[in-house]
Amino acid sequence: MFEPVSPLPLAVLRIVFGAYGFVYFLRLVEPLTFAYGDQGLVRFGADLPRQIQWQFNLLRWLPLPSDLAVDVFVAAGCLVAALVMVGLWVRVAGVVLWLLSLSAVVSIHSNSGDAIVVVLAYLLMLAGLAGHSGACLSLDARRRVRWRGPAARSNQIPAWPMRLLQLQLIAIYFFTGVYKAMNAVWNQGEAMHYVFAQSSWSRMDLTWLASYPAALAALTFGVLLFELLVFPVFVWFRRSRLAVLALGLVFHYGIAMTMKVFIFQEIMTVYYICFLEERHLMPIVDRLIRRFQPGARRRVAQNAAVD
Amino acid sequence: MTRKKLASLLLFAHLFAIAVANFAPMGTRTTHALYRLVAPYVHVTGLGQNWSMYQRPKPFDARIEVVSVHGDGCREHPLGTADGMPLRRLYFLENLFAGRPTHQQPFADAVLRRVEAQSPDGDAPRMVQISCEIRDTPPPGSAASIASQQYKPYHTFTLRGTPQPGDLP
Repeated sequence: MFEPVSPLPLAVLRIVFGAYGFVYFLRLVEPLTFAYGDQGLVRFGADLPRQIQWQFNLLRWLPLPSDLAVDVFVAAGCLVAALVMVGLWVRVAGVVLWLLSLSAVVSIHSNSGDAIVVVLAYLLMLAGLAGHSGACLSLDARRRVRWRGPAARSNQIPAWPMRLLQLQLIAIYFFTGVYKAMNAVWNQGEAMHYVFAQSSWSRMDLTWLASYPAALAALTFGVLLFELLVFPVFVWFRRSRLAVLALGLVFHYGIAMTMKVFIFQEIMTVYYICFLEERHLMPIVDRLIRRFQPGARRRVAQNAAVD
Repeated sequence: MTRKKLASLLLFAHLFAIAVANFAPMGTRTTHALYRLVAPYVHVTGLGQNWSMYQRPKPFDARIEVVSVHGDGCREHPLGTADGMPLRRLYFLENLFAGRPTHQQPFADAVLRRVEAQSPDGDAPRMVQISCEIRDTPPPGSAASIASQQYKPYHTFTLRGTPQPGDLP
């Protein structure tokens, strides 16, 4: 948990999650306005937002219904997500982003993808409070180096922020698989038969697959195999890691192409970054730096020489 | 060193809470007792998680429709059809029929009144309705195909007016 690791993967995760958070909050305008806007459900008697014991919800303190309040809430979410992305005031921005995403998720009819947004926001907030998610590729790090000199640069961070993120992701897959395997329709290979019959949530008519029970059983058992064994076990081995992550993307985007899922495949793609290492990310980061900031690469090289 | 020990303790407590939260849906006496211990932490942080929601695919297909019927008999889908409406809205409407729909009556009423209020002046609908129809999914290996099953009314939330012949499909 405390062995030193490169700060780059966590920084990249922070940047991508910040960018995703910006878009996520923008897309919340529609459901939040539907519920809390001037003509929202609250105005017509719906008892919203829900009060969940021990849980912070900023929307309960806003004057609702109000389009303006919704817009301010969304703008605040976009702003702190952008701050997390660029790494400015990461500690405070991380806390506010977590509080706002928590407020949003309990105030709309959220799904499991939204729950993962809050989980990621919370774990990245912990990493930020400990000073690790902003250790590099951030404006905070740049200011630190400018004020205190190159010695202020962190070339290594403890592994625990990444381990927490990784273990949480494993838990998501593993327990989803466990609960599925406990149900007869899954362990008898019939679940996909029922999934593909959901016409409202299908992007295409897949009911014809009912004529191929062996194929449906293979898909059903394939899902269980991936969630119970392939991801939780083989993602830890360096040699199989990229293949497992690629398989995971095929899994999620395969679902997204056939079913009208929202959020889930996107946030899982972001989450997968926690399993990438510096050697995977450095070529991409290096290319981006070269493209957008030609002088920075020279500085990075000079700093590396000093280190 | 002390700082490291304290951090280790906090990390262990966090992982313990996550593990307990994940076992909680099993509903045994032990998981229930342990969950009460960690509930404040997972609720406050938003880490309360339940990944058992995919374990039981619905054995039926639900079709949701929001319809407003005007005085001249004109029918509209004011929130869009199920194929066209935003997915979060469809998800919200579908959940009005989850469990016992009577528990969702206040939310359904709010949706219906919102639809009514958004009609142009002087053209208030005679009736607004959210309906859910379901068709059973025949078990695998059954001679009956999914397409041959008929949709049957499951539950309807209605605002004003009495449905008249031709108002609903």
